[in-house]
Amino acid sequence: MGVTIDDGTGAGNVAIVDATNLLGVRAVIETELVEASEMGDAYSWSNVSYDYAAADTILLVQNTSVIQNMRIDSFYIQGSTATEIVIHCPTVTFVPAGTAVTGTNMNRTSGKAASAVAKANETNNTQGVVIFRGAIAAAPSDPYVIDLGGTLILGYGQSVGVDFVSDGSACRVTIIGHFSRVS
Amino acid sequence: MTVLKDGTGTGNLAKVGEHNDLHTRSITVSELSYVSEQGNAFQAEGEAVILATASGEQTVLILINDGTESLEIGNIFISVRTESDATKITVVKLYLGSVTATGGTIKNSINLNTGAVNVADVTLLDHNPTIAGTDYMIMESYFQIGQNSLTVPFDGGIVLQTKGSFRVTVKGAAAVTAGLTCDTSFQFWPEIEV
Repeated sequence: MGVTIDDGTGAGNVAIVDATNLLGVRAVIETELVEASEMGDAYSWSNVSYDYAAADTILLVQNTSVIQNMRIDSFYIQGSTATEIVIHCPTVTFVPAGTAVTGTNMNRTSGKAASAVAKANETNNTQGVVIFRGAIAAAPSDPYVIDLGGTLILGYGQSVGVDFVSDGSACRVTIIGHFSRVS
Repeated sequence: MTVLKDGTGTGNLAKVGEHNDLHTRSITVSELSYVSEQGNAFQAEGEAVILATASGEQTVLILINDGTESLEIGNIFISVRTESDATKITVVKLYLGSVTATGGTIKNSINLNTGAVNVADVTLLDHNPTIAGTDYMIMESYFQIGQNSLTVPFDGGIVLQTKGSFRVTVKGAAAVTAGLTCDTSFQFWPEIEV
């Protein structure tokens, strides 16, 4: 014999199980990214466009948290010139060098700062494993979006970079990510 | 009478609405994100080069499931590029089947959880391996060279049985004037019971 779930507010309502044996629920759903943002753990890193050279790492983000993994949600990529793009995770430990990029907390009520180092025009990395190799058009009206949904997971000291293969005069890369407890 | 009560000691009680629906709040975790946490999500990446004199269909990347578990295929990313001619059109096709492949270049799949050590039990070949057997086209799309990569969000909607194959091909336009390079990558993971 099962139990009946009663309303806890005193309205007298009881939960339904329908003819297909499904419990009726009214669910407020949110993504992991939204949940992380509510906790003040979601960030955006964007470079300021510059006149880049071939094979530049336009933007690189490194996780410096020893207690949380960094989960990469999406990339927004745009450039002045049609080019191959390479998204990669360096496998050799290194100290990023370049133009500092401060992560912006997506929750503006949070005062947390990202446990991360981000550099535009990063010059100290060596390409490791290539996660994605693709292309962007010259100055498209919309950025090219790669949605990984938090699937790419970076541990302490690990990083992800976006390289443009062909030379161009303007480049814009944004990386969205969030931190989650090491499971 | 059964009322669901918060277990953390706040005294909060769950609501059942006027339509008899239990009010809940859930965090949506994609299957791919979940399996990545377990260290079982992988990325395949490969390329094929069509020389100026070739116009036949070439396999950019093929995955054959060598394991005992079924595999699911997630987002597929495809691009075709050239340095000298951005006006040409190529044809990109996706195939499912149980073919075998020889030659080409062996590729390693990449664990998307960079701290995980699990290795996928698959065969991955790029650079136009020789295909034997029959497979079945599930998508054909024209693609203009030099544009943003094409994203096909299957989100696990493709399931490969043991020895099942999935491959991406590209065919250059007849009047290709320079070498074309086609890159593709996609995510895959062992099917899980939920």
